[in-house]
Amino acid sequence: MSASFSLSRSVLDEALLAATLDDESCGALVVFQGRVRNHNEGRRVLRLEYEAYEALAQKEGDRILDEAMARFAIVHAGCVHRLGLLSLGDAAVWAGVSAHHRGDAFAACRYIIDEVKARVPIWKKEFYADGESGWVNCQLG
Amino acid sequence: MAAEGGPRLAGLVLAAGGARRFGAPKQLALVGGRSLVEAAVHLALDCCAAGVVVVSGAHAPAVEAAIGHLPVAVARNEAWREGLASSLRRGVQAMPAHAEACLVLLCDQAALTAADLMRLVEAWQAFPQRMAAAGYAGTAGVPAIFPRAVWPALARLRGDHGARRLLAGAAALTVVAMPNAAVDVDTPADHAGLCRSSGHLALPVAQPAVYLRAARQEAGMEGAEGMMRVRVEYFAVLRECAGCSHEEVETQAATLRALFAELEARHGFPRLPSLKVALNAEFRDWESPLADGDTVVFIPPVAGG
Repeated sequence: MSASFSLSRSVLDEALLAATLDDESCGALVVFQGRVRNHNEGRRVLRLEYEAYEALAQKEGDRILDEAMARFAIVHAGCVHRLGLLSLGDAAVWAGVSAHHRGDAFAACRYIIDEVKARVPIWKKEFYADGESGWVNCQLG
Repeated sequence: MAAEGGPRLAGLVLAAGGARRFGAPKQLALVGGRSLVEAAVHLALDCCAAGVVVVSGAHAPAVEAAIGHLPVAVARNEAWREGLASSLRRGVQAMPAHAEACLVLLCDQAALTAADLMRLVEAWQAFPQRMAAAGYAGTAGVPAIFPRAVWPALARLRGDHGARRLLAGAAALTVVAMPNAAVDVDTPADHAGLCRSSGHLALPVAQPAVYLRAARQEAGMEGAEGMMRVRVEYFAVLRECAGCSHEEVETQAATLRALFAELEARHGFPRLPSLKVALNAEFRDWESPLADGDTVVFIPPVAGG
C-alpha cells in the first residue's frame, strides 16, 4: 500500500508515475490526467501558470490521499500537480489508483482529483489570446 | 464610469447609525471581504463626480478608519442619536458648493449594485429638477437623488424620519423600480443570510480589533501595548493586489478576521467569492487568535487541475 502527493516544476513522466502503481494483486489501474486546454469560458487561452502555497498544499494533498486510501478498497494511489508555466496540451495534474477491482479504482481516482481541485491551495492564471490574463475563480464578484 | 452623474451630482453616504438591532458596528460588517460602509462609498464614487460625503456618528473613529483610504469627505454627526434626519442635515451642510443634487445612500442596503444606481442617475437626468427615488416594497425611498432646491426641506426633517416623508409629499417624483433596495441588513441574521445568498463567507459582524484601536487612538491611549509582529504571505490575486509576496506586519488585531480587515483596508483587495485563511501552514477558523511571530496566509478561491 502506498499513497503519495507531490508538486512538480518539471514535465510529468506518465510511464514512471504509472509504474509506482504496479502491483500483481491489482486487476485495475485508473489514471486521470488534467491537461491545459485552449479555451475557458469562451475565451481563447494561450498558456497557464500555476502557483501554490506549497507548505499547505503538500499537507492538504497528503490528507486527500490518506482519505482515499481509507475510504476505498485500493492498493496504491498517487497524485502530482504541476507548478509554473504550462503550454497547451501539457499535463497539469496526474492522479492514478490501482486496486483489485475497477469500481473502487474509478471511484478513488475521481475522489482524489475532485478533492485536489477543491481543497489544495493551488491557483491558476490564464493568459488569453487578447493579451489579458486572470486568476481563475478570482474574478471580481 | 466616474462621470456618469455629470459634474453636478454629489454622493451622501449615511453611516452614523447606532445599529441597535445589530448589536455591533453594522457599518463595519463585511460582505465579500468589504465592509458595508466601504461598499456604499464605492457605489457612490462610481456615479457621483462632484464628490462624496460620508456622515459618521456612532462608532465614528472605526467607521472613519475603514474608509480612510478612499477619496471622500467625512462629516461627523455628533447628534446621531436623534436619528436619520440629523445625518441628512449634517450631510447637506457638508455638500460641495458646486453640487446641484445629491444621491443619498445608506450602508445597509447591501444588495444594491452600480447598475441599480446608474438607472437611478439616468432617470434623474431626464428630469433633473425633480427628486428621483428607488421604488421597492410598495413605496419610494432611498437610494434617492435630491436636487439642491429641496435640500432646505431635507435639513428640516426631524427625528428618525428619513427622506421618505419628503418623497411621499413631492408633487413630481421620478421613481425607478429597484427590488435590490428592499434588501437591508438590520440584524446579524440578515447579515449571515446575505453572505450565504451571495456566496460570500460570512465575514465579521464587527471588527473588534479595528474598532478598539480606533477608540484607543481617539482617547489618546494608543501605545505599544499588545503590539505583535506577524508575517503575512500573499499568493495569486492577493499577491498582485498587495504588490508583494510577503510582509511583516505590526498589528494589535486579536483574530485572523481582524487582521484581514486591517490589511484589506490597506491594500484594497478585490471582493472574492470565498476566502479561507491559514495560520502557520494549517487552515484555521477566522476567529482564531493571532500571536506574535505567527505566519498568516489568506487563501483566495483555489483552482488546481
